Amino acid sequence: MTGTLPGRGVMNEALRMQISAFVDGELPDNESELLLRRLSQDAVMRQQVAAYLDIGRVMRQDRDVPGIDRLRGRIAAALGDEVVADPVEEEVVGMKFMTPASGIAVAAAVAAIALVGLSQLSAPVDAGLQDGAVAIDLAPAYTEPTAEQVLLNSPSEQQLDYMRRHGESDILFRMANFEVSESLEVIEPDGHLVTGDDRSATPEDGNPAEAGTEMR
Amino acid sequence: MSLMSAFKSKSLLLAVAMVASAVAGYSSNALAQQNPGDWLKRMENAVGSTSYQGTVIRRKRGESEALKVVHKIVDGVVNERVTSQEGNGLEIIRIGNDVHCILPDKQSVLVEGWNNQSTLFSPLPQTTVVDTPQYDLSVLREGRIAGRKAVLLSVRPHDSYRYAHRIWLDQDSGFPLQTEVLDVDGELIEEVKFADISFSEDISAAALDPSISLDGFTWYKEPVRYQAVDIETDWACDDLPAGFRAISTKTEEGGAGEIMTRIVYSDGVAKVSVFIETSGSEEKSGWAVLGASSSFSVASDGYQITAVGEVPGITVQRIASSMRRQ
Repeated sequence: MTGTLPGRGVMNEALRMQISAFVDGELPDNESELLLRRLSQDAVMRQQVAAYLDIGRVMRQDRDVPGIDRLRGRIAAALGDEVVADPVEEEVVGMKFMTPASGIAVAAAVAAIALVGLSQLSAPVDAGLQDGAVAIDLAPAYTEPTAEQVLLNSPSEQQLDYMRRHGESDILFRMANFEVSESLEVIEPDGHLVTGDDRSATPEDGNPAEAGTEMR
Repeated sequence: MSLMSAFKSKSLLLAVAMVASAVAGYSSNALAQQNPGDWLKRMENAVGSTSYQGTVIRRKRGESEALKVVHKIVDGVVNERVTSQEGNGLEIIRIGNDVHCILPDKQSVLVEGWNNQSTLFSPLPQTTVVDTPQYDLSVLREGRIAGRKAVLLSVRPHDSYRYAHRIWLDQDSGFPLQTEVLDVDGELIEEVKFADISFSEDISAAALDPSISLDGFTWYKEPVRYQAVDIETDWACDDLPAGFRAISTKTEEGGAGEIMTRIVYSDGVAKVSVFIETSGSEEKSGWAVLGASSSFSVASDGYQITAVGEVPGITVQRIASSMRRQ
């Protein structure tokens, strides 16, 4: 898949994979440095990356941007917490781009992403309309449940039944909470399961497995 | 050190660095050129046809559990034994869709029917994800899992209405040696990782027997609880997240005569089931979470609507809250 960004050219597969790996923290240090150096020198690429990361959604106060927290963390690691806490000023970042030292160049290149991304956090909402690359999501706000809400709401029997019908395979969880209920029917052992001891028993023992009912 | 020798040392270091960078670049490019869709196909084939045994560590929402697994394909039918190494020593023995849950602490065996779902893995991405614009696929890097060479396949969503998947695939067979489901912030929701594994068709029948004697155990079976019939429905979701579409609509009639409508939506990777039934005396609303599955219930116009799926909470909330009769 190749991401086409109107007015911003085509982002090639290798770059997209590199960005993806970078955000995941999977890109080796030497490749990260090369990537960030390229970003520091290429404004179009910075825009492509920002659009790929869907940073425009943040600008429109749509809070769900995959990986944005990790990206902030990586920016913080490279530049210091103050950059994350406060939107980056364009001219400051621009000055950093001119610095030749490798470490600062890396930091500046990370800030390049910050420039496109984090600085937009403080931009007027209307500015988001200029970003034609990202569809505007007019959906009402939905919020992810907090850990407390989740803990308070362990699945009820009815919800577990829905999950089973849906195909939830976490039988280990269900069985950890298994209680014998009246709805269960007591049945005779079906003879499909035998232990090694039973397997070696003689047919006279009446073991169904010996009668050839084993299902394997 | 003379100026000349210092210069030579620096030149040597530079040359080494350039070679290392070139090798790293080549390796990265070689990986980038591998087709993630091909790896998904290999994974799908391997999961459906590979016999193996090993030790699995499962992590779900901060809790971990070790399991011994024996998995054998016999004439296309899954024969499997999964034994918890902790807690109550639960053992699951599966022959096709017949599942026996052995609970040593309760001296009980529960017999269930399943519908092809995996005991270990949450639903894995299908090959169709290649054509799904809501996700990006990439082969990220090589590594070792359970002592075997593996490649890391990343399935990354473009929004926060679905989870990301990272799958370490055995380089030889394509079998998933480690799977991770990650939320929008990259936090691990679920991980299934083989600590050791051996692939072999030569697994004895005894390896699939119960590990304890079942003498004196009480056996239970859950009666058939509902009948499902395909229908057309006037229920629809006003506000589906991008990429989701209805893939099935059924009524499910329970033993007590209660009728429920079930609509399944899918984006090609994740599935969400919506259950709609008339409200009883007790209406419920709110979230529940089980592993990678979320559910959200809401009462609306005399109906109880619950959405369930391996998706973030906001997705089931959005879908359940926007179900309407047309």
